[in-house]
Amino acid sequence: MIEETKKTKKKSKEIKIAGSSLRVLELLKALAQKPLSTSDLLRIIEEKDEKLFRKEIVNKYLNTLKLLGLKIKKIDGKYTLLTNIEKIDLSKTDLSLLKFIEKYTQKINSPIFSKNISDILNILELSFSKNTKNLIENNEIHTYRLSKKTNIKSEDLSIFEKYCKDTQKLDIIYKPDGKSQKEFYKVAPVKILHKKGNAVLVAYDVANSTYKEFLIKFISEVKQTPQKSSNDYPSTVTFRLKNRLAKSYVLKNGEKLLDVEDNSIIIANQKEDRNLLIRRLSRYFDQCEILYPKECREMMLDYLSSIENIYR
Amino acid sequence: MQNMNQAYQKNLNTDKNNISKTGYRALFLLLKLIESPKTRDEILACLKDDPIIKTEQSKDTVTNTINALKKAGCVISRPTQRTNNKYVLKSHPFMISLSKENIEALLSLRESIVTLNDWQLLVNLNTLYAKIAKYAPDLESKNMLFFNHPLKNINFSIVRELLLHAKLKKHTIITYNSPKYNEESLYFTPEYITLENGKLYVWGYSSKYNNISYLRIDRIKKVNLINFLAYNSEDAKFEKPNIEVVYKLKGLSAMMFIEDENEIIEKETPNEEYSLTIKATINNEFNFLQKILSYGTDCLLISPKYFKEKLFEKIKAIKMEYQDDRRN
Repeated sequence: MIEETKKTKKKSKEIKIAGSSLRVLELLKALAQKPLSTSDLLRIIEEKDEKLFRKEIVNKYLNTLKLLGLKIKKIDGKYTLLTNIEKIDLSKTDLSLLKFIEKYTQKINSPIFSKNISDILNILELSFSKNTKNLIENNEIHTYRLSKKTNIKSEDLSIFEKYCKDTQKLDIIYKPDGKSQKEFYKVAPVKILHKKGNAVLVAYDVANSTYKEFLIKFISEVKQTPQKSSNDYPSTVTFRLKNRLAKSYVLKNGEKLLDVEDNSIIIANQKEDRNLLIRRLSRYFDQCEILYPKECREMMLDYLSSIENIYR
Repeated sequence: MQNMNQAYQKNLNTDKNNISKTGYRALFLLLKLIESPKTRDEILACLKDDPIIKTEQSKDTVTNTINALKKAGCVISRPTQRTNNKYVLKSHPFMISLSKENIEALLSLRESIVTLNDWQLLVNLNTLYAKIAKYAPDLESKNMLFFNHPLKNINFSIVRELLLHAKLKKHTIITYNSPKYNEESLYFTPEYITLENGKLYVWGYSSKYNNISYLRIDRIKKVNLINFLAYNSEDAKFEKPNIEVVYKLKGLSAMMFIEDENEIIEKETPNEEYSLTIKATINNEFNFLQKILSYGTDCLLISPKYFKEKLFEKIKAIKMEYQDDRRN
C-alpha cells in the first residue's frame, strides 16, 4: 500500500507541466513549419488546450519568443520565424560553396529546382551561427572556382520541369547527332539531370521498355500527349565481367549482382540508357561480355563495327 | 550565457512584463540543451544567471520543465553515469527543416556535380551536406545526404597523405588491394588525383610498370613514405611518355567535353560534322583508349596513326567475345 502511494505520488510529480509553457512551445513548433496569422496561432493554441483564449495571448507568447532572441516578423499578415533555433557552423569553404551553388543554380535556369535551392539557402541563412555570421562580416567570401573550365549551358527548362510534374507521356523528335538525323520516341518523363553542364531529360522509353537520356538541346520537337505515364517495368541487360574487373567492380545505381562464377561475375542492369551502357561497357574491352538480351549483344557489335567503319 | 545576454540586450524593446514566464523558462532550457548537454546543477546555475528568470529555481522545476519539453516532442535522455549525469537533447521538433523536395534538389545537384569531375568540389559538397543533414525531415533523407554519393568508401586520411606526398614530390610504398594480385606493395610517386566516372584515382609514377599509372583510392590500404636513399635512383629518372594526340569530337561527346590541362580544344568548327578538335597529352595509353572507345562514332582519331591500330586491336578482342553463339 505504501509502495503504491509512493508510485502514485511519483507519477503525479512527473506529469506536472505548466500549460502555458506547452502552449509557447506549440506556438514555436507551428511557426517553424510555416508563417501563420494571429488567428491561425490562436486556433493552434485553443485546439491544443481545448479551451478558448483571448487574442492577446498570441502577442504574449510571441513576446516570450522574441525575448529569447528569436526574430519574428509579420510578412503579408503572417508571423514568420526568421531565426532557426538549430544553428549551423559553416567554414569559409562551405560559404564559398554556397555562393557557387547559388550561381550554378541561377545559370541552369530550372525554375522548380532553383526555387528549392533558394529555399534551402534561405533556411541555412536563418540558421547561421554567430561564428558563421562573424566569418561573413570579417572576410570576403569568394565563389568556389571549378578546377576545369566548364561551360554551364543556360536553357529554359520550365516546360520540361512541368512535363516531369504532369506525368503524361511525351512524343519526342530527337536528333542524336544534334544535326540532321531524326529519331521518334514516345516516353514517360522522369526527371531532369545536368551532366557536365548540359540539361538532360531522363525518360522511360515505352516502346523499348528502357530508360533513355535525351540531351535537351538535341530535342527538336516535343508534344505532351493525354496518356498518363504508367508504372515503368524496364527490361534488364545482363553482362559478365571477368578477371580483375570482376573483383573490383562497384555496382552502379540500379544494378544487381546475379551470379559469382570462378573468375567472373554476372550483373543485371535495369536503369541505364542502353546507348550509354554500351559506351560504358566498351571501356572494359574484352573483360566484359553482354549476355542478354540478344539485341544488346548486336548493339555492341554494331557499335564496334561503326567505329571501324569511320576509318575505312 | 554571453549570447543570451546579448539577445536580451537586443530585445529590450520587447515588453518583458507581457510574457509567459514558464514558457520563457522552457524555451530557455531548450536553447541551453541545444548548446550542449547539461547536468541539473548546471541548468539551475544558467537559470539563476538569466536576467529574466534571476531567482533560484528548485530541482523539481527543472524536472517539470524537462517534462514539458518532452511532452512537446523533445527526446531528452535521462541523466545517467553514461551521460556524466547530463540531460542530453537527442532531437526536437522546433527547428525550421528542409522539405522532401528540398532534399531531392540537393541530391540532384550532387548528381550533377559528380559529372563535372571536380573531386575537390565533390568532397567539399559532401562535407557541407553532412552539416546540412541535421535539417533533413526524416532519417531516410538524412542518410541520403550523408551516404548517397560515390566517395562514401574513401578513406580521406589516405587522400590527405597522397596529396601531401604529391606536393612534396615524395616517393611512397602503397599497400594496394589489387584485384589481380590481392594485397601488394607498390613503389608509387603520387602526382595528382582525379574523379572519373564517380571513382577517385591517384595518378603517378609506378616503379612496377615503369610508367605513369593510376590507382583506385578506395583500394589503397596504406601509404608509407620511403626513405629516399632506399629508392632506386634509376626509377627516379623516369621521364613521362607525354604522347601528343589529336582527335575530333561531334554530337553528345562534343557537348559533354570538358577541357583540362592535358586536353585542350584546339579548334571549334561548328559547321563541320566533327565540331571540336582536341589536342591531348597522354601519359597512359590504356586509359586513353578506354575513353576513345567510349566516345564511339562521336570520335575521329587524327594522329598518331598507330593509335588507330591499337584501337582496332581492342575492338577485335571485344568482338571475339561475341563470336561464340552458344546463347543465340
